[in-house]
Amino acid sequence: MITHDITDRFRTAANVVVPGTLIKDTQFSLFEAVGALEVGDPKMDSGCLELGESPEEQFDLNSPLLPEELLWLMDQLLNREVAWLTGYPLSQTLFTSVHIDRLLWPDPKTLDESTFVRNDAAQATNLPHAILRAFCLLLVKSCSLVLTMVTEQHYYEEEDFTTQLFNRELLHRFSSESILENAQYALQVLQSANFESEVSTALAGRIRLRCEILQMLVHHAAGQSIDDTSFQAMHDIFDQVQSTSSFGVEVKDAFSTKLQRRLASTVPPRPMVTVSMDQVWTFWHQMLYDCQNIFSVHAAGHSQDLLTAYQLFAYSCPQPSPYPRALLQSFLTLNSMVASRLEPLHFLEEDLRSLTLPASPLLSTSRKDYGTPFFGKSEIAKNMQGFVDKVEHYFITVYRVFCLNACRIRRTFCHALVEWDAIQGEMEEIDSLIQSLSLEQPSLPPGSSQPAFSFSLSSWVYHHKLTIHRLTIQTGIQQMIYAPHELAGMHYYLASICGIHLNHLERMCHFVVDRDTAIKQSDFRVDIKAKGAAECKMALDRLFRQYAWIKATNLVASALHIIFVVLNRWKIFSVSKPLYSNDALRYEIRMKPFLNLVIPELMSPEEFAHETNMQQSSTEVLLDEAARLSASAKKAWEEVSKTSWNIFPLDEAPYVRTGTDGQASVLDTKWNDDVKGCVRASIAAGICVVKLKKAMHDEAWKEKAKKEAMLPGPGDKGRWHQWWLVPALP
Amino acid sequence: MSHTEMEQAEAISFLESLLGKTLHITILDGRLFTGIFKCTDNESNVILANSFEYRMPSKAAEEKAKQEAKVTGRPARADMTSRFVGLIVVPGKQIVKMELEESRMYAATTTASASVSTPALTIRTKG
Repeated sequence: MITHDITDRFRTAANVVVPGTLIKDTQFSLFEAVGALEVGDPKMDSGCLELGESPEEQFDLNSPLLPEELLWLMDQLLNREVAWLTGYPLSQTLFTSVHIDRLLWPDPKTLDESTFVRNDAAQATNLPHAILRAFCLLLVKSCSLVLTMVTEQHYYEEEDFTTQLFNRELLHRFSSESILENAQYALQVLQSANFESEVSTALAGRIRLRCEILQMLVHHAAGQSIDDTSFQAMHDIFDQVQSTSSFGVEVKDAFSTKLQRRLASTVPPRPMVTVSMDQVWTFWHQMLYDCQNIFSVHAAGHSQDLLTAYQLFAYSCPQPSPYPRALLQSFLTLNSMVASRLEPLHFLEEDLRSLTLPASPLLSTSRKDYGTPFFGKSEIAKNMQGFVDKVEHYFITVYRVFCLNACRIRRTFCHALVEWDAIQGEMEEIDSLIQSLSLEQPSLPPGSSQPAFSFSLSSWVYHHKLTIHRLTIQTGIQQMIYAPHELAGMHYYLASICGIHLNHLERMCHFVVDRDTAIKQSDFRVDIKAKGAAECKMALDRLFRQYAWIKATNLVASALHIIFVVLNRWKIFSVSKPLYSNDALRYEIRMKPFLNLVIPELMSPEEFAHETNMQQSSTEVLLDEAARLSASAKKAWEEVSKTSWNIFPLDEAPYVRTGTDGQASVLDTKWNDDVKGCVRASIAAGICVVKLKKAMHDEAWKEKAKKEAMLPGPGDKGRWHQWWLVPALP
Repeated sequence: MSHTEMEQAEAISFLESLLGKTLHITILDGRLFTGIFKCTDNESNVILANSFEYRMPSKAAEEKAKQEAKVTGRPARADMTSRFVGLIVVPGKQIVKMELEESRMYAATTTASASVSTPALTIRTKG
């Protein structure tokens, strides 16, 4: 290759180019130029080195390893795996390990080829390496299974998980069995090795732990949980691993960011991510618990109970990490069944039956029992099919939302709300058609002077929409996205949505009772009549339970509304006055998710301000009202707490796990904690009211409160429930 | 046309003649970049497309080659490490040396080592 030095000529020539102009290829655009990496800039140039720094990692894989060093390496890998499982890329976590790098690159064609030093006979007899290799293979295979589970579900890249593999295959072509077999061999090797017994046990424990983890993931991939014995065994091994972690001796340079230069040449190495060893143990224990507990949702024998179960997991604190959430999500579609129980269509019909369509000929599953030979039967079936096709997907999505990360839950609800609003409009049309075809007679709903039709389908949609609406606001409060001075308004809005929902539930009840009467007076066979009556009772049970829950929510929200109004009147929370905004614009932004809803229509900013601030009532009157409300709220939640998480009988699946002393299932515990939290929040609201009443004319207290009043954050003392933000007052 | 204007026109036509040709640019830290010349400006900042980065062999590799040369008595090679880096901009301040590569086709037929595309450091034993 012949080259000519043109340095000086080039520089001289470039010097006379008018500053600001470019000499460039006509095909080359400035737009492209923006994408060029700047050489010498450590942020862009991946080859940029510190003075005297070597571009390659310095670790010698042939050097012998002490048993204590092996132990340290294993614990470090467990550590980096945690970092990966919480969302960091492999390049900054596991792929910084020189050992893992060599196992996976160049891509091994056989399992035997996957070694630290390729084509080296001495390797096969190197004991420490054989043991570490077994550990690494188990680890990488586990990662592969985790990745498959997560990517098969709905997840957010880089928010939940980073899936970039840099062309590494993660051993996916080799079976878990062959890798587990290799681990058994390594355990034998370990026994024959002359290691100090304590260290030897510790190493064996780590390999067994990895085997257990891999086996658990294999079970999960098949939709099965592991049995309680292996579950407990895993926790025990973890405790053992944790207690022996201090034996480890650091291996210098075994992890290096320099490996990243080979993963991607255009991205400079980014720092390694590790977590503290304490976090490692906590994370693993938590993840194992979450994975095992999540199977308890299979106990739910009904769509409503399944929703409660999903909700309880979504709002558990801390929220399960991405893998358990993906596992929970996988149950929705496992073997094309929802929660291993029903096909999506039957699942949807089950929900309809227990809300607005008990003993109804409209549902495919009860048509043969209640089918009435009316005119336009096929037309009705066609419309009904249209409804099912439209709604099935959206209905399952509601469950899926609860498996997303906390921030996405609210955002997805905001979108879902608009979708459900549109569906409601379409369903009203289908309802009208069915109503005219089936010659439905109107009846007089409570609190109404005009007879009305049942609108069963759109009514069902409206019920779910209002639930989503309420959850959107509550999740907003949970995540503390509202400024303190906005809380009065948001609690008012929450209470008002609950109020609308309560009215709607009453309306639904009315039509179910109507149906019940009609069935009882009908000339169906006795057993069909009994079945119909049972279905109506199920629907009423469900509606009552929903009513009780929403009523309780409504009461706390109303009490907190007044508390925050009073705090606003006394200017306890400072309000910054932004220069370029006004109340109307701020209202528009805040209410954006609800702005375009056809029903319930969003009130005007003036009306909202009027209803929120209640200027017409004096503070004394308001506080008396708040005292009444918080007392009723406490009673209402106590009533709710007497019930169980499930409304319907549990599925007799083998999944229901009971505690060692025959305690309630995981979901029972979660439910009880949840409702008790609401009771406590109501009590706290009551105490708040008492404090405010006492301070009515106490200016000194108000001054003090301005400095000391605060809103307890998640996990703080005084935050009795995530959904209830009771201010902590002096 | 004044003298300076003529000079300027000549300079620009020289730079333009280089567009689309392969340049070898050595930078302060010793790395060499080869790529197709796309753009430059008054400060000699250069944009190269389809670039490769070449780095002198590491001390260890060099040492190994020296040992090998000593043992065998024949010249030994320590290959420079190369990576594809794509579209890059080399700031004028970084540039130590710029070379123009003669048509690769031509070079391939005349040099014996043309089949080896990676530049190598050849170490000969002294004496």
